[in-house]
Amino acid sequence: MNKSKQNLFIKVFISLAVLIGLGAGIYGAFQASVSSTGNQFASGTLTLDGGNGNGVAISPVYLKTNAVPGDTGATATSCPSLQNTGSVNVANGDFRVYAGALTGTPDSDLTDEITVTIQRGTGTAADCSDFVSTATIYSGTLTDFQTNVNSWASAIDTGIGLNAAAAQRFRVSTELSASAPNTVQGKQSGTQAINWEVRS
Amino acid sequence: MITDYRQKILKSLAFVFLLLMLIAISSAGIFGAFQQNVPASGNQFTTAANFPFDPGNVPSDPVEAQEYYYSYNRLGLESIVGSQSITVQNGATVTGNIGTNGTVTTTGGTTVCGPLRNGTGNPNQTPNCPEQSAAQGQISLPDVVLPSDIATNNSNSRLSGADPVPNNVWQRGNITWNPTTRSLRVNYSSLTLLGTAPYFLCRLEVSGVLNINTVAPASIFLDSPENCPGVGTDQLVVNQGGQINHNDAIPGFYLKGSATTNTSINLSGGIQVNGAVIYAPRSNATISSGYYYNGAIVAKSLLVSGGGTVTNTLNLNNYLLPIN
Repeated sequence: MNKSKQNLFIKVFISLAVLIGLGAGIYGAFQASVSSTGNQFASGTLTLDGGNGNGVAISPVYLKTNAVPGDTGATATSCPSLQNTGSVNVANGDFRVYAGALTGTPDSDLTDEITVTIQRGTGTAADCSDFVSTATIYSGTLTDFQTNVNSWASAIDTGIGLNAAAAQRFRVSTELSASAPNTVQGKQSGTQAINWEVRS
Repeated sequence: MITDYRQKILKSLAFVFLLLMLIAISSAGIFGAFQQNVPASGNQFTTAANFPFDPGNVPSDPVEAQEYYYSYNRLGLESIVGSQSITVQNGATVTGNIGTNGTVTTTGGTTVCGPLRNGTGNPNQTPNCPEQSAAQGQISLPDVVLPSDIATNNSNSRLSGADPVPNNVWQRGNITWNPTTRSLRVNYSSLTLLGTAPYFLCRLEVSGVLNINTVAPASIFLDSPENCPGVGTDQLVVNQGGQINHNDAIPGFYLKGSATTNTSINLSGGIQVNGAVIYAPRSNATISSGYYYNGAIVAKSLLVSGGGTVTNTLNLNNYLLPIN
């Protein structure tokens, strides 16, 4: 048996001996011990609820058909409240909003004329009837929102953390510019999901 | 020798440690962070096929403004138009909002007043009244669109028996209406047009007085020459001291014209048109030899010649046209 084979044999033997030793505790003959009891590790939960259940999609925050210049896309659910229903506090910077899945083909001439404003605020009504803004976290065209704010990495920071059990209401306002040209008649913006997301 | 074995034992322990770590890591999956998102789905915006007309949304640029009016079937700002050319000559006076895709040619002591649009790249003829603006730009004139049911839903039947002069009087022929050729001539006497449905003619000649007495704007359509055999292409004629008057709403005369056959408008010889809109994007218009024309005239070409005035003192921006 050459030397390298000898070494490998020794390594394998010792490894098995250690593994067996860990299980069987054969190192000691005489022994005494003091236990630290109650050690455990349990994971927390990180869940976000917009009112329909954890992670379940909520109703549109803007929806407008047959729009004419000056129309808004306000819906009865333009002011969702997002609640941290998990057990883990979400740190500032880990609670963001961004454009999610997009279906259909947006007409950029139209989306250039639609402004999107997302505000953080207070209120109890999903229809925004009592919403009071405390901060505007995004204002731009729908084109910009769809093309430049469409991932966690490029998401808008809500500017707050969200402790376990805490909730935060937002308002999403959309408007077709009052000076939108005739060239945007009969166009569509695509169907756009807006994601609120928390991470730990 | 003992040292050598210790090193091997240590290396083996390190190997086992790494092995256990890998097992622990792969079973715990600690490469991912906790996360959850809530989408608001179904958000969308679609625009109406036709925005409602909004006076506050009229562009400030004169060309864009005119196109905006046309897109809402409104006459708009330009009321004296020869899309190919405008010629003003021999003492003629033209005042109003003037527009052409070609040039405005003036000769012989004329007066041209008002905002004036020349065609892009054409000589920039300016009004010869002080403080009047000139611009350049191209505007396509929309075609006349006949009401889909005009062949059956019209006021032509009102013209039958319209001549007030009895058969046995030598002046018979004051008013001539031929329902077959759809030609109407008002000669010497006067005719008052009534009714809410449009008139659908091939030729209208006014040598007498044509009164139009309708609350809503009366519409007189002149059909395309292809549908009017035997009446010539001079489809709208006011001559020999003829007058067109209205009592209520300002009437509109719409010439369908043709892509292949020239049609024309002739207003000449001491005539008066006291409030009218003539919209004829495929017809050539001539106003000459003593005239007073107050209203809008929109044609393919416009020649104004001799002593007289073409003007627009009426507020016709929102006058609705049968165009597309």
